[in-house]
Amino acid sequence: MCWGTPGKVLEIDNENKIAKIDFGGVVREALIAIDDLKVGEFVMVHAGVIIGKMDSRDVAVNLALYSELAEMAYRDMGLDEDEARTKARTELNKLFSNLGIDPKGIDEVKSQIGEKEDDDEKYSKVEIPKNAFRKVYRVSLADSDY
Amino acid sequence: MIEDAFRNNRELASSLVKIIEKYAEKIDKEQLSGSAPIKIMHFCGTHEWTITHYGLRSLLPQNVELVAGPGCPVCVVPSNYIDLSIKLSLEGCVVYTYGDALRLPSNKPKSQARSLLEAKAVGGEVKVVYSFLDAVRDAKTHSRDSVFLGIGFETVLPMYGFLFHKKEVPTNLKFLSLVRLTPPAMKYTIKLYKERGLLPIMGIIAPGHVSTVIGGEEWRFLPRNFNLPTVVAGFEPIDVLMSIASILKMINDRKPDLEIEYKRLVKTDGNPQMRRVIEEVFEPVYAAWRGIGMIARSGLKLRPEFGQVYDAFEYFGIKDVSPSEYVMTHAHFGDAGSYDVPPNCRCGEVVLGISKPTDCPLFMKSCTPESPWGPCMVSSEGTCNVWAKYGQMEKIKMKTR
Repeated sequence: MCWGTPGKVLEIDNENKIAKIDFGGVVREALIAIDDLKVGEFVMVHAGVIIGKMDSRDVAVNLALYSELAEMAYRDMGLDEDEARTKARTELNKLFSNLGIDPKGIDEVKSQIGEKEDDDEKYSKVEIPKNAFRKVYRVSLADSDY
Repeated sequence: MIEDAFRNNRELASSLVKIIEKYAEKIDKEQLSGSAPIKIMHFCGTHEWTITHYGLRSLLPQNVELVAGPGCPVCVVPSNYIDLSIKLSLEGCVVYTYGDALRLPSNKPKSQARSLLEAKAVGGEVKVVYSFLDAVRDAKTHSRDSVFLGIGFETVLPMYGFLFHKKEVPTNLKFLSLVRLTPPAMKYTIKLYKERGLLPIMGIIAPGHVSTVIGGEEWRFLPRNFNLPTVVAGFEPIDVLMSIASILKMINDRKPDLEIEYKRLVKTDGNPQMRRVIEEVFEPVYAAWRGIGMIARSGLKLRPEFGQVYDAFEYFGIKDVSPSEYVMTHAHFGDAGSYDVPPNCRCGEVVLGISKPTDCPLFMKSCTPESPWGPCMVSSEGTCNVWAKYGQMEKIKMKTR
């Protein structure tokens, strides 16, 4: 039951926490399970629940993640550090331009991810690797005795 | 835009496949020396859909094997609850259900009503709803006894939790909690593989949408306790390829870790606000998984303050299955009795990823999507159903370059 359907928010009823969502023509009501939802935003709906929202920045973040993976992969395949970085960066630029995202914003996107995760005061950082995407957080999973 | 980036992105797919091939070759040479395939399990039925529908297996090198895990909430509903809801519907109680579960078969012989659809055909009151919200609204229009089959994983919980918490649910609508939790099932599956000495799983693709609620960190036990590289992945083909590449990278580095690939939706702590609501409404209990067995703290039940009004078990005087009653063994290996799967059906093994649907003697013979015999053939997330619909794609060797 992980089937999610992306849709666009048409109307919001904050009192009952219900929003009208347009799924490419079909309009249905869904429960709002997230904060700060605005009309016009794109959301993921699952069995009548809005479980998250997405924007182009999130897509950029996702793609930047690929670029980092590719960079490491190229290094593992024998390219030296600079070559690998340049190659991965070129690929990412191309991806961004294909999708109409401003490639100039890559560094901004990358730094924003770092900041966003740092906001979580709940997690105590154990180690900070060089790579912004590879930060490791430890949570007290007191109830993890499944 | 999401489609362009993660679905119709041929360029990205082919460079990912290249990375996967390189790593698979390297791991095979350095660590496995051709002795075994690299087995990666994806928990979610929707991942199986993505993989089979887009023919991702045909893109992967031969020594990378993708195995479907127990991530189909409809498939794991114990058959006694289906019998029960059929009985209630025939006795005049309105049964609300998701469309997925409508054709879910119990273990009854074909001469009796085996599913809610058949019960409806012989006069039972069964209503298909899109969500719990629809059921609540419909139940408010009448005062008859009604019951909602609360099937689902953590993703549907915000809806249940929120409506109960806000006291929106009318008292004539009872709730049959069949909610199952995913992390315990994952843990159970891995332990089972270890105990049985089955070919080890080397990496896990964790469910994305479940993690939007419970948080990506819930899967930390996999790398920490079992040394399994784990990636929380999205449901587009590029997402799956990306997570396979990252798992292979972690295997290659011998550094199992938890990664969130589905950055556009999943956060490390999920949705804390909703988790709090869910915790106030539900409590964890022992729960039966059809074809798998009994798993501790893997189900949720309404807390007493809600339970005394809404719990269908209490209201209809139903005795829930106790752990000792439930057949602990696998359907195939023990005498499953009236539980678990119908005769000759191998859904128990399929759900755990031990068998492929094509290993089942009934697959596409007496068990088809049109007339399902076992539970895995019913839901659009059931492995057998996915293979029956899109399985031919696997035979096509795609050209990526």
